[in-house]
Amino acid sequence: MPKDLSATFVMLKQLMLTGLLSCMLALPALATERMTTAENTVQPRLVYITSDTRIPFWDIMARGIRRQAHELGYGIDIYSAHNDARRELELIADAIKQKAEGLIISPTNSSAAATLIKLADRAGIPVVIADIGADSDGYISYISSDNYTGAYRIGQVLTHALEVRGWQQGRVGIIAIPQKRLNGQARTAGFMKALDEAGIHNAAMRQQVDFSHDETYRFSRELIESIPDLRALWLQGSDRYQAALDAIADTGRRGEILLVTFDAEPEFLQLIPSGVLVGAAMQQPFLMGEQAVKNLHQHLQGLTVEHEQKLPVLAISADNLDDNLKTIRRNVLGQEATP
Amino acid sequence: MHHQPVTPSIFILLLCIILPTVFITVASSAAVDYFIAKQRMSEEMQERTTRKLDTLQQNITGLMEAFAVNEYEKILINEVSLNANCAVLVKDFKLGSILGEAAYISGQLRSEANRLVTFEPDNPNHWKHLDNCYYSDSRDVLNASGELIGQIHLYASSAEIDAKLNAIIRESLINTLIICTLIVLILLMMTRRFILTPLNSIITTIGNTDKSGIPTHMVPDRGPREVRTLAHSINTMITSIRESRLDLQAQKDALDHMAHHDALTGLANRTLFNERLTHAVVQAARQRHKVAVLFVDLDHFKTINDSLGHNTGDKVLNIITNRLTRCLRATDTLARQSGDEFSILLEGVDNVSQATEVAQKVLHNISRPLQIDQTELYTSCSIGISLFPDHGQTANELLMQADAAMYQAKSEGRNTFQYFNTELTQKALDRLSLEAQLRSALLNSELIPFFQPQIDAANGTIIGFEALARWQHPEQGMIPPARFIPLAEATGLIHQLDLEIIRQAMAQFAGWYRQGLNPGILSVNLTVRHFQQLEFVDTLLELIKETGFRTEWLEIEVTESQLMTKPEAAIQVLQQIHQTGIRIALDDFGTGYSSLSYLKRLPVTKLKIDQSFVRDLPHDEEDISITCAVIALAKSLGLEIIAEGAETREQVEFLLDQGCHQIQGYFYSRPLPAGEIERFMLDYEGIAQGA
Repeated sequence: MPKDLSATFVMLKQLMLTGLLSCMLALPALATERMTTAENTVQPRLVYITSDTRIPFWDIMARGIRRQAHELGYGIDIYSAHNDARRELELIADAIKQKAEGLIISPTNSSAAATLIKLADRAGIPVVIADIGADSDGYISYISSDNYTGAYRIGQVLTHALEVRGWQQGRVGIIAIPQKRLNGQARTAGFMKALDEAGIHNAAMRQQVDFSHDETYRFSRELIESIPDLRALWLQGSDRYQAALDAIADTGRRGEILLVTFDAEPEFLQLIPSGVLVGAAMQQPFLMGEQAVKNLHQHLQGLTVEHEQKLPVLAISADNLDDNLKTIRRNVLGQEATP
Repeated sequence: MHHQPVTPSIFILLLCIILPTVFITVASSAAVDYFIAKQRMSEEMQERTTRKLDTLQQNITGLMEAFAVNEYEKILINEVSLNANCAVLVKDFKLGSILGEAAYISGQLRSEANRLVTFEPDNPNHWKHLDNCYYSDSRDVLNASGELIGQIHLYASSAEIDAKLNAIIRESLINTLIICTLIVLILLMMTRRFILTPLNSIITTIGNTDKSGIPTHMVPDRGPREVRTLAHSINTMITSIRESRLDLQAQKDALDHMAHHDALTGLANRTLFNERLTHAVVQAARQRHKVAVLFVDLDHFKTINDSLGHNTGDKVLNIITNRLTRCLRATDTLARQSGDEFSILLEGVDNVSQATEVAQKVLHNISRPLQIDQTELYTSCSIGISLFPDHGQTANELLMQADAAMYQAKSEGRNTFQYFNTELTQKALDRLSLEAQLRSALLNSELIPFFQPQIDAANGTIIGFEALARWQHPEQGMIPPARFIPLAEATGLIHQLDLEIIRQAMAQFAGWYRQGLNPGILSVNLTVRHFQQLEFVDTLLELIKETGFRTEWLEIEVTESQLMTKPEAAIQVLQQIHQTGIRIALDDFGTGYSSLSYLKRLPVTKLKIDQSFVRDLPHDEEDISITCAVIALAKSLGLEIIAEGAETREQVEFLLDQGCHQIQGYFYSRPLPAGEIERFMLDYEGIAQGA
């Protein structure tokens, strides 16, 4: 899952839509690196170091962590590294000094995660990695999304939409996150499987580099113009969906080219029912945060913890949006009051 | 039996020399290579470490600045895993400051089990591991502004060097083994080809010898220079040995010839004759034949030898040899037994007449005149004959019988032959017995001097006495001089006999002088052998001193014939004797062949006319002439003259008439023992005074 700083702009829009409570919770996280609960002096404390809480995905995950920590009676300190490796190291050093009971880390990258795990391990602090991954297996549990299955299912959503429209002969263009990432590879593989099963051909793929609006727009337009029988675009990220829509509109192919995404934005709750988007594969960061705390708790309780745990990705279309709306609001968008 | 010590083959010796030498040489070379390689590899490793550190510095600096700890740790893993370093360590001062430490230390070790181990700063074993690393170097890590943010330590392992060195050792060992094997093989092959094979060939050739142990073939001349030189030397040796053997054989043949032949005449000698006679006897016994042995002895040969010298005698013997050879068949054997004695072996004799015929032929041929150096000589021989099986069964018996028969022939007047009979055997035995008795007699003083007076017939006075040896045998009584004097001369006892008689005679004379008698001059006979010894004068003077005698009383008689055999040698001794005042008379004068020039040089004071010339005086014209000539000669040379053997008044008067006053003979007295001489002197003195 790309966690680019450029997503900050989108995140601000999300904050306005998700209401005051969400803003109340999110602003302190942006203003301070540390958010300490009132019970921190008596409760065993957990520390969550996230790469950057300015990105909604991590913020939603932080909320899930906080909620579950409170539920389980832990104090929780949440630190944002602001996507800075030095800061991240300083945070882990502080956590070690504070003798935290456990660490949940959403590292800036998997390589940095290895160092953090190593330092924590030297201090005897168990670590749960929440997404991103780690170039180390020194963690007690690694929580991630089932990208493959999610992509497969959203692929099925798209192929179904194409079949309904009789566009099986049309081809599909992919604007992908970098394929050197494991989550990118998994998403492409799951999606391709769905296309193969439906007998629909993939036309071409472009890999995002800077995740900018212009980049997505340019890639989308190139695909539309270069592939006459293009009938659909799949974005492996959700934040630049507007650039793709702009390209379809600008090329005069509105209504002729379908759009599906991976991940979701709050406005998708309107765009999907309206048919602007055919569907989206939605990760559940709130649920991932909760699961991370649960696993850490299990470990601290001396129980066996699943070393790697993949949480389901929701394949949402107009057909099942209403049915999953509550889940989407809570687990995907974090729209639930945090204690 | 002498056991040769077990010595190793030259092959083994060469192996013992070459193998260690080659091994040490190659091993030394390998060791040098090893240390050079080790040095080179150490230097290379240091350079490589430096380069790696440079690379690491370049790769890590940015990562360290960016706190990409895991990334640079991956580089460290790669560095150790790919380059087989002992360890690599990074000290991150920036992270260290974050963690509240001097430095965050991370790194990788390569364990002894060749596994990668993450460095643990708290683990003392890991620090110990670093201490054990072969080589280490470090680099400071500086950020863009030159601030020290970390250090990289690279620890090099000796594993690579060890592996390479082990490979070098293995390679060197294999090379050493191969080189040693090759060199040894080549050396041994070369040695075998160029040294051992030629040597074996030499040994084989030398081992192939004839009966006398000399190699039958020459040693092959091949191989290297030293072996060829050896072969050449051995060949030279073989050639020399062969030549030496030929020389030895020739000498042996010559010695064998000399051992079986007479040097003068070339005839078979006594040994060869005995062998042939022995063989002939065996053959004759088998074939029932007779064998005749003729023992030939020249008559009066001694006279020829003594008077004309041995050279003439030798010439006579050679002529006689030729004449004898012509008398015989080719199958007969002629041998020279000794001096003037020859023996003839006639084989296949059927009857006695054959031997007789040969004997007569020999007598005839020998008696013919001999022409030697313009001098005509006459000789004859006496022959004794023995027959097998009639007179003896062995060679010795036959020779003895023939010898005895020869003596019989001599006693029968010479120039005849005589067959053996048993009586002759007894005579021969008697002769042998007499010789033994003579030796005993000399020791037992059985030989005593008799004295025969020498008278001055002009006035009837006694001039002196001649001492004559007589043998007073305790059993046989008086033995005549004719029996024992020749025997004494033949056996060499004459020398001792002469001295014994002189000593006794001197003692007797000295006694007479002390008694107041006047025996005059003592004449003694001496064999010429005495004069051939320079020390004889001393012996004589010693006897004189011992017996109380005086030199002026002594006159020595030496026979003309003896003196003339070696006159030069005798002259020197006689001169010395003469200088002591001793008189010297030449005995038997006229019978020999005196050279007047020698006679002049000899210190002779008197001539003694031999009794053979006196015997028939004054009737035999020839004797008269000789006697007169001798007397005239003595007078002309100023010498005294005495005649011996005067038995009648006529002879005495004749001699007196011729001017020879000194006379000795039976006319005055026969030789008398000392006791009778004293009476003779007293009586004769009376007679003389009466006359």
